[in-house]
Amino acid sequence: MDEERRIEQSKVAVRWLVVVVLCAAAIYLRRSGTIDTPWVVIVGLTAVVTAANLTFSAVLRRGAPRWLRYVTTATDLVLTSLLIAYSGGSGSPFYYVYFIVLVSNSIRYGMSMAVFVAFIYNVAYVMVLLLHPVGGDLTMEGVKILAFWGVALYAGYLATRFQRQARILQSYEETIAGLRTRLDELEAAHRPQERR
Amino acid sequence: MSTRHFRSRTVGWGVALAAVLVAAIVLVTWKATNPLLFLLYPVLVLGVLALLAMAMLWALRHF
Repeated sequence: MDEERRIEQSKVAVRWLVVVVLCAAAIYLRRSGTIDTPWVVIVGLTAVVTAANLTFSAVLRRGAPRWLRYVTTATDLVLTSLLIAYSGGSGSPFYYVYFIVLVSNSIRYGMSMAVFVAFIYNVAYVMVLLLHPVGGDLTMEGVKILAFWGVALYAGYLATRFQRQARILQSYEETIAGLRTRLDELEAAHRPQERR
Repeated sequence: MSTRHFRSRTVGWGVALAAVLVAAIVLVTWKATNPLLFLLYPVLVLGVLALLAMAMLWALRHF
């Protein structure tokens, strides 16, 4: 449970950083005319992310329930989708933020989270395409969604392998610690006999 | 002697179904005119993976 709490607290810290960077980028791109996102959306999304992050911090003060990881990840994906929908849809410069959410969560939680992120992304990106229609051929959009599934499954596979190796290493360390204890006990038992 | 829980015919049907799902993925990607069709991807992708994993594990005599 402590490990989960530590992970979620680090996600809160990273979220503050990402919010500042994205907010600065959105303001810059809006002023330069690259995106036509309304100011009210930029300010509103920043406020929502700030409120969500403060809420997550408050929940984490009491502990880290298991459902929290899914709520924080889904919130990140939904807010990212809103930013993308209001900054050009499929051509948005913020599309790659999806990959930050995917990689940071998959590495931390493994395959089940990678599949969860890919599923929520799939649904959210379809909603983005409905809100901001591409028009004409949708093949590229399909390929983008499939590519995301590919990256998610590969990241999940690598994370699962890494977690398995970490567990094996931990069991080796426990075995070595146990053997050391037994060796110390044996040495302590033999010492008085040697003195005689 | 290992016991095989799946018959080769069952695994064969599984691989055939995986091929059909792959064809469906290609068809949806190529011919989709409505983004809502992309909502089929989770079922198709995870279905292909599950069926291929079953065939692979059967081939490696895990069951």
